[in-house]
Amino acid sequence: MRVDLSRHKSLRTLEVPASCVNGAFRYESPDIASRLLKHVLLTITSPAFFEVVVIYRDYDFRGVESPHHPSCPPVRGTSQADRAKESIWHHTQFGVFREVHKVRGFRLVLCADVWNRVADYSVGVLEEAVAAEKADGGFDKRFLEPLVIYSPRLCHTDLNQDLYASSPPSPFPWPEGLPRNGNPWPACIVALFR
Amino acid sequence: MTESLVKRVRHQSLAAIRGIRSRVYRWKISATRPSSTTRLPFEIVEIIIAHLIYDTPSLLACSLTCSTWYIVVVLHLHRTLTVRTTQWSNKRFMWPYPLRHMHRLGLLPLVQNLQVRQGYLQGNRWFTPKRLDCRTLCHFFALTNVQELEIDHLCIHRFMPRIRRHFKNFLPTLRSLNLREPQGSRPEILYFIGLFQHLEDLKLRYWPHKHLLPMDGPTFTPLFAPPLRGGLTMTSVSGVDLLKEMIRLFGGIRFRYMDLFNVGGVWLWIDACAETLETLRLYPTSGRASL
Repeated sequence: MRVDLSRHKSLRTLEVPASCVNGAFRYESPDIASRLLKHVLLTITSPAFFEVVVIYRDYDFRGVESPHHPSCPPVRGTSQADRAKESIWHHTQFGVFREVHKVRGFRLVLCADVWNRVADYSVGVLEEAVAAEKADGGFDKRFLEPLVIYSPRLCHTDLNQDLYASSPPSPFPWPEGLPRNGNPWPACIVALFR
Repeated sequence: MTESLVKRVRHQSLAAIRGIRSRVYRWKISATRPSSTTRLPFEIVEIIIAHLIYDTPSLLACSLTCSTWYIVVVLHLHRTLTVRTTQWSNKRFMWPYPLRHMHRLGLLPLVQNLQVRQGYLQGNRWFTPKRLDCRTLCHFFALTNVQELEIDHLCIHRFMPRIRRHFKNFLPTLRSLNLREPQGSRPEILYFIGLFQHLEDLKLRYWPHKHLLPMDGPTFTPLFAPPLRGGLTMTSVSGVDLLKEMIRLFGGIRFRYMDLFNVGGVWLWIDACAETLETLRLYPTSGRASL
């Protein structure tokens, strides 16, 4: 084991995928993530360091359908049991970062790095989790309420399909053989997620 | 280059608007007075559009409002071009048809992000010189403003030693390079990286289960030492030898962002950027990147 970030004098941000913390819980070693993060944070000597960003991907949200690329939010909503499990997981995760925060202060940021279709749903889930933790008294003057941000990703193949399927008033001639039905969502894409 | 392109387009659009106005006034048609939106300064329109760049349907709706808005929106709409090399849901989006369509529309100079991706079905996935026949190469060379290049399964060794000729239009503008499972020796991959003199971000990915080791081969000296001061993302790369050669050929590495997953010698990479590293993505409980 060799962890030493003492030479990194300009280090400002540490990013941690939520799946790694989740993985530690799954393998029945919930303290391993906090232990390792504490160890890393203790080695940081950078005066610029001030935030830990937890990265949430599509698969970190229960019910987000991803049989194909890109994923989409749960159409029929999530079950009570799933919601309960998710809230317990978020609560445990906040507990980990609360523990880590005792070693060294930082601002916690929750970043939803998801496809743009899931953006509203995922940000909503994270904000609900933060609100629930706040109601439980999980944050105080030292461990402040985390910031929820969204790092958007676009499926550019969809973008191309949008462009070809619709008809913007281009000054250039429209390509021959391409339909001008004006439907921004072609049937193949709609069928894909039905 | 983008600014000059935008300026040129702006001049053309303004000329068109002035022409419309003069015609309207000449014909004294009061009902066709230009709307107030056309009088909004470009900067304001750009700010409005900037809020919508991830919302394609809204962008498309904005492009329908007037030519001024279209001019602002078109840069965002055509910023990214994704082409699939294997079977996709529609053959129109497979290599090289999107290139041809965009070339026919004269939109290729607007593309800043070119993604050559593998589809989700089987097929010939390798990107070899065969894909760049004379006609396609002509369209490929029309991509004069590409800043981000993402290629899956690039057969670098098949392009050698004349790889520079095929990618010459990207040399002055490219800032970000993303290679997924490139095929080639370590010197060949480094030579390819060294072609781009302004390269800042580098992404190199292999599939975790394959964990390919770039083999050694004939030595190629990179033409440039790119600055590489942006982000480094690597997945499943046995990186110690690669790191040593990068330091030797490029005079060190100066990345500000690092995301290393399943990379051999991960702390050597992190230490190599000790002076410049600002953001580090850690995988505290995963495989070889574990602490």
